[in-house]
Amino acid sequence: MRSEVLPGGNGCFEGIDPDNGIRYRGVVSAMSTAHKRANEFERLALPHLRSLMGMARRLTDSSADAEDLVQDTYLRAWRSFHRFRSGSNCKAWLFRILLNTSHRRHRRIADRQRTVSLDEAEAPASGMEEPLQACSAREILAAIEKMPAEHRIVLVLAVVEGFTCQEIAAIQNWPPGTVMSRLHRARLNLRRRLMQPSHSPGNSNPVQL
Amino acid sequence: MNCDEFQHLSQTWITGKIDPSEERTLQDHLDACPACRRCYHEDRAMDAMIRDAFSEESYALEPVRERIRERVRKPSWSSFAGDPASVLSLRTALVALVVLVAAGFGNYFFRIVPERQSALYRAAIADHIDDVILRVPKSNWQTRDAAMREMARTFRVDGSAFSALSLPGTRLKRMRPCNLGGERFLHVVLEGDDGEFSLFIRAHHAGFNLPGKGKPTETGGVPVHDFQSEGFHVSGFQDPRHTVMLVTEFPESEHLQITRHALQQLSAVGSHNPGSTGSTPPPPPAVG
Repeated sequence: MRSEVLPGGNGCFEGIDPDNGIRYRGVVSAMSTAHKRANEFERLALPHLRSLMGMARRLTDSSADAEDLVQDTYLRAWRSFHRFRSGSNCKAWLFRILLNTSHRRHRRIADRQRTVSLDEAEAPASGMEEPLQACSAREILAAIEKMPAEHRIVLVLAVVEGFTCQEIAAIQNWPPGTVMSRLHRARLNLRRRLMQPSHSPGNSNPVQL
Repeated sequence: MNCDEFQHLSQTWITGKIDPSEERTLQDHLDACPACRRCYHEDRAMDAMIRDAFSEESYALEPVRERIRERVRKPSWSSFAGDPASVLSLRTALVALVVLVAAGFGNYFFRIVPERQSALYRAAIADHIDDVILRVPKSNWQTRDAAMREMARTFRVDGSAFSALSLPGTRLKRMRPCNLGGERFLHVVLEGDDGEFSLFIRAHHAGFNLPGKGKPTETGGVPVHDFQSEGFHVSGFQDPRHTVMLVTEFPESEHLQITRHALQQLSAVGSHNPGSTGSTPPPPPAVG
């Protein structure tokens, strides 16, 4: 028995039974369609799990919190997956959900931290004349963790995940000029921190958003 | 291009995505400025260190992946709402519900309400058929003048109104109390040139209105409610003192004439004697 999906049909199919030549039509059951959707979601979204975890780890205090944030992000994405347009950038879509989710979760903490963070961010970079020495992964991650959230986010999106300025602007709803400006400041900020001889890994600030 | 502009624009260049024309301008500045060249190369080196640091991080991804899979596979409202076939079924059900509700309202307003409204008139016709056409024997008829006057008084139809019941060219024959669908009326049988007809009368009760929409007439502006069924004509009207229904099987013109007479006489009673009650001794009726 051979069947084909009808064009534009919502799960409708039709075909001809080769045994008796009778034409038949039907509708795929809701369960099998839901199964297909789940498969499609897993195919498109789960490959970005590690990238999302990397960003989530930069936005939370612990691995457990990062796992919760990522899981929450995937659930929100799954609930609105029917609105996701096939062919658009799934990774950017997931990052937007993750950052929105994190923003809602940590708004109160952000309010407490923002003043300190931005003052620190605006401080002029010192020691720019010194060449940057090689640093360990632990030192780099610790330095990033001490940066303001805007800098952390733009640095991870641009440098680690390879998003363009336009993509970051769309994810964060920032103007493209702001993205470039923040990226520049984030690099200066990180370089200053890596050049400070006393920076100690493991003594990280709480999440700042 | 100065160094500040270069530092600003080079941010996207470092990540490797920039217009060819902008790239040329940046490259020119880079070739000419040793300080920016050093910064640029250090930024690239720092980016490489950042990527290496991230790639060295290890996460327990498998348990998270399994938990996500488990939640995605679990049947839920969101999976139902996001499923085109389910949404189609839901829409179909909603449309069917709307159609059913609309059909219910249509049935109520176009069938049940008119039927309820016509129930009183149908009951009057049924009583007319029983008492005038079939002459079903009933015990409570009054035919004597004094008895009829007394019966009318119990229905708060006073003496002058009682006199007005004898319409021009008709004779008052008999009357009895009757029940029309729960409403008590006095059934008065009169005889005209074409035969007997019925007049149902009762004192006006606050809150009781004849069903349906009345049509205004030239006689005093009291609206008349018309109803016809199986050759019977029913005309009803309400003045401030009485509610009256006339039932005949006469031609329409004659029925309208009788209605007009009844309307004029009873309305005249109401306007000339507004304070009168059943306790007033009635004048002798013009019977015959």
